[in-house]
Amino acid sequence: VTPAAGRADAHTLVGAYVLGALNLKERALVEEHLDACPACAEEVAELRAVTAALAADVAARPPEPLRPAVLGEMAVTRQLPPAARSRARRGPAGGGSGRPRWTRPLAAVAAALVAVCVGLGAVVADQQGRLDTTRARVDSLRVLASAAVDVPAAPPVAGGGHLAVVSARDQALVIATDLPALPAGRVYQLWLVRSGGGRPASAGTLAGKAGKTTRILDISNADSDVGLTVEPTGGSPQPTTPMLTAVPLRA
Amino acid sequence: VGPDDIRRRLGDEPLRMDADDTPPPRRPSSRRPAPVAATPTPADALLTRAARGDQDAFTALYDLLAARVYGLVRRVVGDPAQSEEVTQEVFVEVWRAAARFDARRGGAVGWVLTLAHRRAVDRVRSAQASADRERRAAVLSGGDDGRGYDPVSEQVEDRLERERLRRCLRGLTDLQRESITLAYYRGHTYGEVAELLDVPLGTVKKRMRDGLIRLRDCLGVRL
Repeated sequence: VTPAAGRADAHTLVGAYVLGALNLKERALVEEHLDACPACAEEVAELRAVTAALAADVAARPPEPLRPAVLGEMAVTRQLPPAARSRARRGPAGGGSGRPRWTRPLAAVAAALVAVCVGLGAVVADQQGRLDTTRARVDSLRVLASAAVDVPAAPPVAGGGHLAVVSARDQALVIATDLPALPAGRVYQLWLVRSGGGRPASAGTLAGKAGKTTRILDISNADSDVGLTVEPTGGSPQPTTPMLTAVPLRA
Repeated sequence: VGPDDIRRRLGDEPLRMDADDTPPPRRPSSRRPAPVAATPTPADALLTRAARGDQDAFTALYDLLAARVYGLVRRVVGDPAQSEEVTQEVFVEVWRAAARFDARRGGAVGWVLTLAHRRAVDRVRSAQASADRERRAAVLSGGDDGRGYDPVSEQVEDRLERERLRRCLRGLTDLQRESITLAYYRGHTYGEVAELLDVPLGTVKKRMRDGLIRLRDCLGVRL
């Protein structure tokens, strides 16, 4: 498909897109097109008002128990951080502080990919037949996500290298880049730092090497940062050296 | 009933809010084009507050949108128990992902309803879709036009709104109308719609868009 043909195709699909009548691939094609075409995005917003009227037309009173069920689940459900918190800063009031503008969408892409990984992980639970394919997809998305993170912009580690963290729901993707090699008998160790100030929990060890090393960590509400120390081979139950960096889990 | 009434119906239903929290929505002073999301609705304000963890705002948002979400899901899914489940999933997702709402892509009402429609459609397109779907088709063809079950109480304004939508729908060609309702209310892909109506794919795509644009103009939708 040539770019022009792709655009034309994407545009004829706008109606079907708004009606939710596309498969995932076509939906992605249209959304890509909308990012590049503000007029089309406006058309979508207008047509969404039409489908909202169609929805309002079939409004029906929900069963009484639904409200307490929803509010109860809300109370125990953690909220996602903004997909692209950087996006908000792009507004008229936003300054040019922080990372260079072009790097921001990458982190957003990575966060979205992690969300997809995690989502797929959740789907796996009740669809046994698709387990293997889904795992493979999670792995490939993990690779994609790590490729999408802008590494030079990731927080630096004292002594060299960078540590980037992208979190989604109850998992976080940690990407260590170019950590310097350590003397024999020493390894890097990841820690989940608790916001209340409790003892950090070990999150596994890493070797120092050039290039990227990724880990997916299970995280909880209580965890605030991912820390990194140097420990004896095999790791320590608690950190025995100062943290080389601490990267917040939630921006 | 003017365009402002439509607008209020779509996203702007009167709602008691703290005065210092929500300035009254500004009406666009000029005709189109107006920038998207130039006029924050109460739903937008509530969703923005919910994104910051405000549980009261989320509760108010639920009260504002639950009938529309449940009604739409029920229309698509058919089965009441499953519809209740999907509606719950939708609202929990709204809470969870509130910070991902981007006002520049349309208002909060559209965002929530799009999410609801996707979840409902995912449900009917899932593994057991075929069996459920036949049952659903049987239910639907059994004379239940989707309004037979406990509709929300009809206020005069709502009734006028419905009449307006009906009139606008009557202004479409049969092909436009059926393409839209088969996709939106029954959760069919445009490929399935083409098959059901026995027309080429390209025609269905085009009729969907034409039909929506005609409805937009007839309803006087403004952003």
